[in-house]
Order: sequence, then C-alpha cells, then structure tokens
Amino acid sequence: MNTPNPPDPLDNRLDELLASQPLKPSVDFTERVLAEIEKPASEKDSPDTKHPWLRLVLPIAALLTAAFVIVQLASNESANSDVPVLSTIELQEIFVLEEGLSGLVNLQDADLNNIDLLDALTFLDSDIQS
Amino acid sequence: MDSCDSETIQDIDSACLEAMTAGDHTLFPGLIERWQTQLINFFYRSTQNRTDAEDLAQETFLELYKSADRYKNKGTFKAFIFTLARRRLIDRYRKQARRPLDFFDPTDSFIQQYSEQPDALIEIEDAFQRALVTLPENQRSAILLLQQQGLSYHEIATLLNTSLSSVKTWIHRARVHLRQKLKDFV
Repeated sequence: MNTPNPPDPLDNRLDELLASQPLKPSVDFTERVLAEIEKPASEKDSPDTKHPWLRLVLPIAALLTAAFVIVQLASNESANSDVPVLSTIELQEIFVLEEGLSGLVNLQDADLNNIDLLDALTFLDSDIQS
Repeated sequence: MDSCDSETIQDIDSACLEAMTAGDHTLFPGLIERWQTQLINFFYRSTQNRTDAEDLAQETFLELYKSADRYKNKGTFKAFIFTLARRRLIDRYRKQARRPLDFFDPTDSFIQQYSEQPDALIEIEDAFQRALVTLPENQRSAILLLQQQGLSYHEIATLLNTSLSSVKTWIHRARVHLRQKLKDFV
C-alpha cells in the first residue's frame, strides 16, 4: 500500500499566506463609509460636481475652434483657386498655337497616308515652322 | 430579530439588499461590518497600501449601496460584491496608468504591520507581497478569490468573465510563480 506524499512545506506556507488577511480595518471605517453615503451629491469629490460647467464649456470651445479652422482653410482655398487673368501676349501665343494645330488636322487624312511616322513628324514640324 | 436574520451570512446579506431595494437602509452598517475585513485585505494584496485598500473598499460599498436593486440573487452575494470590488480595482489601475505612480516603499507598511512579529515572518510576508504584485492582475485576482476569499472556480470564472479552464491555468501559473519566489524562505 502506498503512503501519501508528505505535504510540501512550501505549499503549506503559500496556502497560509494566500488565505491570510493581515489588515484590520480602521476603527472608524464603517462610519466613514456611512458618512460618504450621507454626503449630498454636491459635496462628493467628483470632477463633474466640482466643475459642472466644464462639461458644457469644453465641447463648445472645441466646436468653435474647429469651425474657425474650417472657415480659415476654406477662405484660403478660395483665394488660391481664382482664375488668373491672361495678358494680351499670352492670348496671342495661344491663338498662334491653335492655328498651327488646326493645320495638323488638314494634314491627317490626305497627306499622311502610306508615310511612315518619322516622315510624318518631319512634315508636321516643317509645316508648323512655316 | 430583524428581517435579515437567517441561517447563513450570505442569506443575511441577500436579504439586506432586498430590504435596501425596498427602502430600508438600516441594515447596511451591519453588512459593512461583515465584509470590510475581506474587502480591505483583497485590495491590500493588490495595492500594498492600507489607505488605497480602504479607499477602494469604501468605493465598493458605495457602489453596492447604489446598485442594491441590481442584485438578483442568481449567484452568491460574495460573488456579487467581489464583482463590484474587482471593477473598482480595474478602474484604479486605469487611473494610475494615466498618471505617474506615487513613490511607495512597500517595506514601510510591512514593518508597521508586522512590527510585533519575528523577522523571518516579516521577511516572508514581504517577499510574498512583492511576488504577488508582480503577477498579472487576472492571475492575482483569481488566486486571491480562490484562496483568500473562498470562491469556487465556477464563481471566479463568471466573475472574471472567462472559462473554467482559463481560471485553472491562471491559478496554476500564479502558484508556480509564487513558489519560485518563495522557495528560499522555507
């Protein structure tokens, strides 16, 4: 017949320590808890009751700041997106370019048939320069 | 005899909460007297500090006072009160995580608490407390609820919102860790 293993002293000590309740409550603990229960809500140590206005003011301030930033960004964006005014010289350059490009349209079908690409580009270049 | 008088303390406390829900708060001081030592020591093992332990116990009683009507007598009263207690403990950890911890020398409290005991006992208690606070919170709560507070594995699993096997694993790991830390003291 097997004899059971003797209890491990470390396990026993550990069990004692785990089960122990070394602190005795302060003598006035119950009174303190009851006093806290009796305390009116306005006296309780809570951030909400200390500064109830914080709950309203902070979100409103955040909202105003966000609105201000959005308005600033929007006005900057509209200022940057204005269409630039073209000078007379620029308008003339655009007109000349348009004329040259319209010349290309006339070349396409009749003149470029059966010509390889390099010849076509050379032809276009000389046409633009003339 | 008052309406709370019954065979077991648990029944007394359940009846007290029912009386409180009905508007009779005269029995609450008795409930505090019955549970204060257990709660304070549960918190003390996690905070290493009497003041914090008593503050947390007070907060738990306040919560219990406010939530008496939520007690449905489904589980034991002990499981209910330690569910509230653990919630307070987790809240405290969250608050501490948001601000630097106050400096605290754990040996101070042990010397005050056990000044009348032999040095060897003070040393092992000190080592035990230091080992305990290095455990993950779930392991520490599980082993304390089992061995200090006498809850069942099933109650602990419900309270910690986990499976029975997880509770057993946590408790096993906690014991291995504590044994390792205390092996030189026995």
